[in-house]
Amino acid sequence: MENKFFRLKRIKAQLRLLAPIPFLILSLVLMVLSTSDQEIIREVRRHSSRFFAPIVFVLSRPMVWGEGIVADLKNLVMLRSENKRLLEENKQLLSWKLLALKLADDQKEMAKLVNYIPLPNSKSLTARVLSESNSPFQKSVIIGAGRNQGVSKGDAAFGEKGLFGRVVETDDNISRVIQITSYLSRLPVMVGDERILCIATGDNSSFLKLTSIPEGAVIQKGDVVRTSGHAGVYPSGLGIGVVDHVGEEISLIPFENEGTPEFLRIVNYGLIGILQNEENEK
Amino acid sequence: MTSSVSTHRIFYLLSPFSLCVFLVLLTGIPIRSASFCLFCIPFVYTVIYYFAIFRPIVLNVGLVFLIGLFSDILTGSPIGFNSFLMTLLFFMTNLNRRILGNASFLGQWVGFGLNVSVIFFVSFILIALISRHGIVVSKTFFDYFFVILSYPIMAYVCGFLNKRIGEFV
Repeated sequence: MENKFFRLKRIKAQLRLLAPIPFLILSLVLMVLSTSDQEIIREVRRHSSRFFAPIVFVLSRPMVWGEGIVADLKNLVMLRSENKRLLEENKQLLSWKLLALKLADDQKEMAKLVNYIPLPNSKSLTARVLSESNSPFQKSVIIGAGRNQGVSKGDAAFGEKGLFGRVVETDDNISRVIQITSYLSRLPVMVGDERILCIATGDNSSFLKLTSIPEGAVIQKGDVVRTSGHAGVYPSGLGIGVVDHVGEEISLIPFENEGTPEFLRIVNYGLIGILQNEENEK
Repeated sequence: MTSSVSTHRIFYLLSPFSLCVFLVLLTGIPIRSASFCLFCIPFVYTVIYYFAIFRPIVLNVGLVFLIGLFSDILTGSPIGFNSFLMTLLFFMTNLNRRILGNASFLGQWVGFGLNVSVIFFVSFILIALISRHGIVVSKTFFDYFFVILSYPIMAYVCGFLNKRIGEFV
């Protein structure tokens, strides 16, 4: 009798040890389903983001206040030197302003001469960043604006300094924005005054790499990288960043490279380009 | 009086799970400093490891699986990715529970380092298989070392909770 009891106890202990195996198998099955882009998985993700994004947003508030206080203190310490720098910069900008006004006049005259038809006006709105996902698979953020506010898939998202990413998923009141530095991001760009066409590729770091560079093209450190307008998702000329390193690989540092901004400006240029093909395939 | 004890009991019994959920939620906080993301580090591994040794019934495999799913949803990883890694960590730790439970603090720390090494290695392979790209090695190593270095602090927090749970179980 006692023997049977101990045997049962041992079996129970062994079963308890092996209990994770079904869960491991289930995880693998879910992983396969998830990577094959099933609609049900997308729905689950969308619904749960709708629920959890506000919670993360509330949790992040003390952090944002803390960061604000540190930034204020830093500004106070650097007030004098920053003021001096700004005065210098203002002088330079005034001369740039004169030049810009002259160029704007010239451009207007030229446009009249060649009967140029401008791009349709873009629509924009500002949305708050609710949460961030920094997984090894993608770098994205959830913003507090969705279809009801007029956000649509493919819209460009700008931080304070430049292009931050693009809207990849929209729900009623939230949307997911994938960052330009994310793994899945590929941007057709042009580099420098020569307008060398290539692709800016994200690798989840803070930098972008330039790939598909034409043979013989000369790219130098400091060259400005802008969207080329190919693929029809972004209009041409949006600032991406500056070439930072030229070696075996050419990397560029995005203008928007100081972490996640608190707000993003979402701009709809009325372009959908290759994203239309993606939609049709689905 | 009885209701207060029962509330306390529920609170402490749920505390390992709640701590894990909280730590996962922290990974979703938008950080304005690009160079350093303290909350992106998977501290949740320490909690799973600790309770897999000392209270595998309070933080059982089902709950660990749920925490993983929650993490997948929040971080935008393929669903099943983090739940697989966390369940695997629980499984490995639970298999060596007797040895780790009787080991000194240093032994447990080393055991944690070994288990987490396996988890990071498996995650490398899974990422390569799923997305067909590598990962930023520097960031992964930073996460890896930081999660191991932070073990004493996290183990202290878990130890405190474990002690309180012991009063009710």
